[in-house]
Amino acid sequence: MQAKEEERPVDLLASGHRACAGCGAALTIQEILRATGANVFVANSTGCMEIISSQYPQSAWKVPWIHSLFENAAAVASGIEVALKALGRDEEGKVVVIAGDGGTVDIGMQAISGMLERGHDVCYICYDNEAYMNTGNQRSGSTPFDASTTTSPFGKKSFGNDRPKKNMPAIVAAHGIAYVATSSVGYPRDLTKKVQKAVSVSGPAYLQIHAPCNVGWGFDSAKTIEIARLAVETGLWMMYEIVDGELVNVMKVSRQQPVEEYLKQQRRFAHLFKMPGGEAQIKLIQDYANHNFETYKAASREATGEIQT
Amino acid sequence: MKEIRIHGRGGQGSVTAAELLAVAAFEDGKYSQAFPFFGVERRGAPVTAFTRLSDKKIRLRSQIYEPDYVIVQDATLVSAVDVTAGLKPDGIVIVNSEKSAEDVGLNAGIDVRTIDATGIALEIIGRPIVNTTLLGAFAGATGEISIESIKQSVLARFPGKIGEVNVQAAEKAYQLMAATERKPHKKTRARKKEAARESYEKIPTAAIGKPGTSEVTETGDWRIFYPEFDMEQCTRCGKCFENCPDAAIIERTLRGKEADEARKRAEELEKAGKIKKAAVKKAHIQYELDPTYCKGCGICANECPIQGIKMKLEEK
Amino acid sequence: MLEIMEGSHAIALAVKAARPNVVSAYPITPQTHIVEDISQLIADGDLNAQYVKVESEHSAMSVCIGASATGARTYTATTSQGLALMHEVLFNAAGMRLPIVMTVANRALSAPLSIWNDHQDSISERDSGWIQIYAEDNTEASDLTIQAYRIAEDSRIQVPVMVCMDGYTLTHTYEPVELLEQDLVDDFLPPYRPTDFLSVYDPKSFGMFADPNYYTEFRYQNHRALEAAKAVIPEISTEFGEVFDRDYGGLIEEYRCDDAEYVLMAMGSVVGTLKDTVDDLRDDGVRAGAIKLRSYRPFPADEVRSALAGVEAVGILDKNISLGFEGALFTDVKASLYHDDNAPKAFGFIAGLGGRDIPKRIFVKMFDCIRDDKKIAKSEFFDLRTQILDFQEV
Repeated sequence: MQAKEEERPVDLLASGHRACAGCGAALTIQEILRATGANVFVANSTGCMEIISSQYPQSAWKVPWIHSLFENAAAVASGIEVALKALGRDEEGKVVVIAGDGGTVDIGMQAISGMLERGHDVCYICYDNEAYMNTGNQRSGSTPFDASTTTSPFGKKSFGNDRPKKNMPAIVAAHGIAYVATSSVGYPRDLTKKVQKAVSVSGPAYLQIHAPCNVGWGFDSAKTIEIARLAVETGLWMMYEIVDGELVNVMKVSRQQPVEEYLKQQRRFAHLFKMPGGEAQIKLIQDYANHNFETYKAASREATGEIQT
Repeated sequence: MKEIRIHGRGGQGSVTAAELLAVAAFEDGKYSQAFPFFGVERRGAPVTAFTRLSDKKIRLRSQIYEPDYVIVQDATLVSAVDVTAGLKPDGIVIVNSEKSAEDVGLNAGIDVRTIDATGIALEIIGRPIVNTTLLGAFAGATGEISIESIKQSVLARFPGKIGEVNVQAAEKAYQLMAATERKPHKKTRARKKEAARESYEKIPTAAIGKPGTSEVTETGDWRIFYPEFDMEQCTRCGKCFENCPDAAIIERTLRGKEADEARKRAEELEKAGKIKKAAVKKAHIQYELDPTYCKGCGICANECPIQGIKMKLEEK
Repeated sequence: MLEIMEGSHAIALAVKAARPNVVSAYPITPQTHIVEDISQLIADGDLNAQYVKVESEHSAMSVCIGASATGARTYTATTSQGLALMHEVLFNAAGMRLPIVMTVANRALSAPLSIWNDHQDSISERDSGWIQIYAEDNTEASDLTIQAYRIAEDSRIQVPVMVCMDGYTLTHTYEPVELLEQDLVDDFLPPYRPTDFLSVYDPKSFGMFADPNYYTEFRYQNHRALEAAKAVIPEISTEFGEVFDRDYGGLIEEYRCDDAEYVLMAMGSVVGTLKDTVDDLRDDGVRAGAIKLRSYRPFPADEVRSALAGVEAVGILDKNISLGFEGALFTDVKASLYHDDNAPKAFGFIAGLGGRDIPKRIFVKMFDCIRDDKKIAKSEFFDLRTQILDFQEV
């Protein structure tokens, strides 16, 4: 049984949610739900998207939604999935996890691994805003190299976060699941296509969507999409799919932008342009971006993906 | 003891203002205390912060219910929040507004002082950050804290150039406000208490909510700028609609007569070379702002490929 | 019908009779036999349930939350460290008012590591909002499993239930168990039909956050539900008795208390030994009695008070300790007696930690203690091997 088409509300994340103006993550959720339609069960981990959408008695969700804790969304989703099976309701809809990067790559890691390994028919989507934004911009395992956050601040002896971003899609892919992909809120067509693919896979699928946070990263609220695109155009966020273990569809960038174009627009990297030694750090970031382009291109069976805006 | 309540919006620095007031009072040799209403509010949502000043050690830890002074950082809050709730009979309300005290929509019997802090901040600081300006205004209007201590506290928090321009803005506001006079409170007929604002809808067993009920929160009043659409140039690409995090752009399909008129107009524009042929076909699609929810982020304007959306300062 | 079997197997059969839709568990000693037996029942097609073999107890309870919110009847079992790992999820399940049933095979908490029985694990989850009922023997544990679903799913309650049974002492003990006839269970326990559940046809939001205007009221309602369970637990026990001819009474069981001067109170399997001790003492002319506390949360303060009316002295056995104070049960019993002018003298005994056995002679000593009004050691520890202590009094 399917909910009747005409009964489906267009915006499944209702207006009146309390996300900051220009929120990349809220836009990501809008786009995810537009792509999935109303027949989904959302398990949401603690984080920005949970807090801005669910202050009792006001819920922004127009799909069945559950929030339990920070690190257990994948397990809660597993529970929903098996319950639907057990109750003979598995045709009712797809189970989707929506979680931030902290809830995914750090504290939620164990539950995700369990969910993937057990093969639940769940689509896990991580909106990646690269730090603990709900609590005010503390560093997560997904924070990029040299980003200044409140717990990885720059200072006389620090250029900010001293570790590179954790490669979560590779870790997920190592579980041997059928579909892993990265996308970005800056590329709605790509995002929509990948969400639809991910939910159509039978078994676990994983999607990590780059979702800039103007408040935490420090840029004008109007530039969320622009910054998201720059991340891709500079090679600091790679867009690809891993289908049945094989890297495919690495998004081609016709004109690679220097990383400065991305970094200079954000307060979290502003120190690199002021501090002695900052230039060398920027060079390291550029090397990382170049390395990204080269390795993904080399590993990809067919680099046929095109930028679809 | 004097109690001050600050009403602002997330991101306007209300908490910082409360803290700076406390620091300044401490510099003046007083005991002081500053704290926010601990919440989860994001940028733009109404927030409250509190400051207490006293000659004696302050032990009180509750929120402030009967303030001596109220600072309103954003005049739009007057309609959204009961900013004068519990105000002491001889209390003063300082409102950031270019309007006169009579026109901000508060009870005529209250000593309201308005100051165009946004204007001052834009002129001196170059950004609409009004909290330091309002601190100067507070010192001028109330005399509770010296302007020197305000300046000191601002400089300590924001060293260098930024601090200096903030101090200048505070000084200007101080001068303007020091020139205002105490307005005796008039006894007006007691305002009929608004029939209890809160609803008494019964709560369920657990905190389970109904779908889409967030729509009662009108996030449109968080806005400082609003997008203005130029539909004549619009190519109907839909990017504004698709990139709105708040679902505050409505895609409307015109039908019948309305659609015919839109097509006619588009054809004229195409002839005049103003729009492309493809846009004529989609002339019946309209994009409209939903002012109830638009937070004014500006993504739509930034993403519009023909710069057909302009961000305009909201009239407050 | 009686059949001899291991306690864990009896629980597995009770779970099967309750027809859960979803079972989710992580193995931990001494709970393992329960989940192994359930796995076998599923593998043999005797139980039609989804079994989620999770990677931790934290996820075991989280799976139960997701499944229960979707409308499934759920079951899990754990103990000790596993229960402690579940800690935050327990509060979450209770606050979401999900009627999950869990067997706790009671075991001590580390460090030092101990796989043996005491009650520290479940007592430490006292405030999680779960109903906790302690079983004396394997038939009671099995019967409680069925009753637990009725209690948890009762529209007046909607609170998860822990059925606590002593690790090893019950779980690994072979003894005759009264089997649960499936047809009777089906009559007694109809399928779970919640009013609120996750569905695309009526998309509700579960697990919203409550600001200071609402949080207290949700907590109050939750509290009142546990208090309401004080009436519902005996009611369901009576109904169970009518169907199965085994009624365990309600929140407490009084054993030879009618004219008792001296009463000992305890929870769990040790109550059996205590009852035997009472019989022995009665034979010797001592007016001894015992109280078995079945429901620890909600705490039956009124029942305890009235059971102790006219009693000279009461001793309370705690197989747990709130370090730096005293046994948890002792505190609660004293609190229950506070407004009672004729309250008996109360003595707290801490014993049976980390699997140390409590034979009859220990209970006799405890009775001696309360009969002689003997002030026992400051720490209240009973049966302490003082010879091996290396501890400097300050």
